[in-house]
Amino acid sequence: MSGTLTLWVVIVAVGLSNYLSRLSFIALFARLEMPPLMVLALR
Amino acid sequence: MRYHHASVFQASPSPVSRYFSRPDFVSGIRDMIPPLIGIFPFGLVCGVSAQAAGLSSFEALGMAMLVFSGAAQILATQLIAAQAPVVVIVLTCFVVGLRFLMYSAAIAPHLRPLPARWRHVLAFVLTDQAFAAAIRRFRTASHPGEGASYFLGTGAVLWCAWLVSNLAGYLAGNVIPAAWSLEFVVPLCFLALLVPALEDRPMLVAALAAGIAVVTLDALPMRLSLICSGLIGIVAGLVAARVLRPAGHAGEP
Repeated sequence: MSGTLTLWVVIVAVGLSNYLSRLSFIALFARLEMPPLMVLALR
Repeated sequence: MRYHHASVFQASPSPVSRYFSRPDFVSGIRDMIPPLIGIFPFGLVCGVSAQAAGLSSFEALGMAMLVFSGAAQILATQLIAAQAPVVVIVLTCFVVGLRFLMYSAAIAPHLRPLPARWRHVLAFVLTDQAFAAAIRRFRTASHPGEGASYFLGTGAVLWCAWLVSNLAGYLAGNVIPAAWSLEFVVPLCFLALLVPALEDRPMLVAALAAGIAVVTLDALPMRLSLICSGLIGIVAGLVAARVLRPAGHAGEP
């Protein structure tokens, strides 16, 4: 794999990993009800 | 999370535009302009770091556009320069970004009433500064669209400023002396946004516990002190909420 392609793989993978971290609980708790203790802990 | 829907939102045609409020979007942009004083130097540092690692201007801009996280970008460029394996770079940046899990969980109940497309876009602009500003707006909003539009405004202006500052840093290169430690402005501006959100004593206890923990645990690798101190702050806040709870509220969590 060429250096430029490897670099873009890194950029896209790091970007995707960051985005999935940000989206994780937003997507999860769009479907599930958040436990009351967790609501209190995260307010 | 319950909202009293304002008629201005119900009149809009599509499910996506129904939640957009132009005044709140503009308000979000306006409120984020002062914190840009802190964001811009950090972006400059990231641009300098990308240039030093040998990235082209296109790659540096692509990284700023897609990653949109100063700590992850600086680490990634340093590891790229050290020719670390792709897996190591991705995992290291994931660990550094663990705090986003906490932000994501904290803001999730406010985004729940929104369409999926709104949630996906807002997740992309979830940064330290946007979170600190938006969480306060969501608490006072009478409709989810107000908070969401405000959040979108903060995220949009931060993202644009981030790209400009990264590119400026890349082009300016070593003009900015490292001794200036410009990146130190970022936590100062974040504190200015965060402190007004501490509305009661349990929140204050949580912030103090997390602050002490992050200094104490600073020696941990890969900035794990951030996520550890966040969890310590949450536990301290929960304990404080129970201890300081006024008599007569025993039935509430």
